[in-house]
Amino acid sequence: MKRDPDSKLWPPGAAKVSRHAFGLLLLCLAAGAQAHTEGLVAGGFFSGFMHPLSGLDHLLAMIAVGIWGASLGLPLIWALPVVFPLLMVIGGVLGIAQLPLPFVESGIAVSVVVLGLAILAAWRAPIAVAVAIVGAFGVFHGYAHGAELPSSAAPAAYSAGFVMSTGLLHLTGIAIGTLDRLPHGRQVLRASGGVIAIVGVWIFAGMPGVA
Amino acid sequence: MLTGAYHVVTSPLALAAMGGLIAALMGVGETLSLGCAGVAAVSAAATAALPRHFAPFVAPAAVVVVGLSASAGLQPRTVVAALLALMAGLATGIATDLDVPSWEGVIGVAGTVLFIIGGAVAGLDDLNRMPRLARVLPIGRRVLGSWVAAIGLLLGALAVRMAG
Repeated sequence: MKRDPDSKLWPPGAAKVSRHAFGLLLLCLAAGAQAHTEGLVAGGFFSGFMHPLSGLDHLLAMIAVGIWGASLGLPLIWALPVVFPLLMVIGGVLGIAQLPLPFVESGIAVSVVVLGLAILAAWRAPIAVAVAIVGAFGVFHGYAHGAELPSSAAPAAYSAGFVMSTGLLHLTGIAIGTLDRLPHGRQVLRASGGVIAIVGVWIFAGMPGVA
Repeated sequence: MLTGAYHVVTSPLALAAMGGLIAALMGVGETLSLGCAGVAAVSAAATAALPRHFAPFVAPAAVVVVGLSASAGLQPRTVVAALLALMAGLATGIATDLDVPSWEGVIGVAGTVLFIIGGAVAGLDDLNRMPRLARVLPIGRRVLGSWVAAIGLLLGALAVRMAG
């Protein structure tokens, strides 16, 4: 089918992009890509991918990093999601080496509270301070992931899974953070920060009321 | 040949190395990026043929360098881009870990690396011309680079621990 050159429906080059995208899609669907089943069993990619998603503390902290970064604007919109995984692996390495790191669970809960409060207060922290806060919390989160890594069946797949999952949660947070451009978006975001902080306090208290 | 391709697309470290190189080459121009895809393919083929000759931390270390260059937002010129491609290919070749290297397997590795990197770079070049995406892609590039570096750091630490 010939495309109208004056059409505004498709931007120039869209057909070429579609061809590349279709090619990549076919690559993903190839039977070979579904082999090496250790990537799908416990301890593989799926386990690693699900690890940050299965804990409320990890989940909220990652999303909060993205929301806070987005609300702080450039360069922190990309700097926080870049710094977090890099510092997270420092914690991961400590976990792999099984070196003791005190207050890991408390540190993770505090990260949820602090990041939630930062969003609630619309705190425009200086770049170095924001990076230091997010990086320090990243160490605690990484330790929790890394401690499970040596015992996993496929450590490479597990680590790829949890890093990607963490990054996708950050991107989700950034996407949520862009709501502040909408009418009342800023208020909604600040309220969500308050909810995150309250949940963080509940996690810190040991999640009373949950069996 | 399918065995070689299969080993490439099922190795997380190989995929991380290629992802890192794709992110690092974003925006360097079609000619240079396709040339680098060729360098990476040749490098991957050469190392896939000799996988046992490298220390276990070499591949993760190469992945870390490639990932960090992307997350730092560097726009590599010809020589640096070729070096990054060489390192990414080296990591990919080692990570594919062909049980019994054969000509067919090695050609499969090279072809797959060339196809994935060349295809992705050409696709991203097209996407980069779209005004809206042109603002988002540099952020995505840095984020992807940090993921790649993080995976490389973790696997490097794990390799050192296993070796020790």
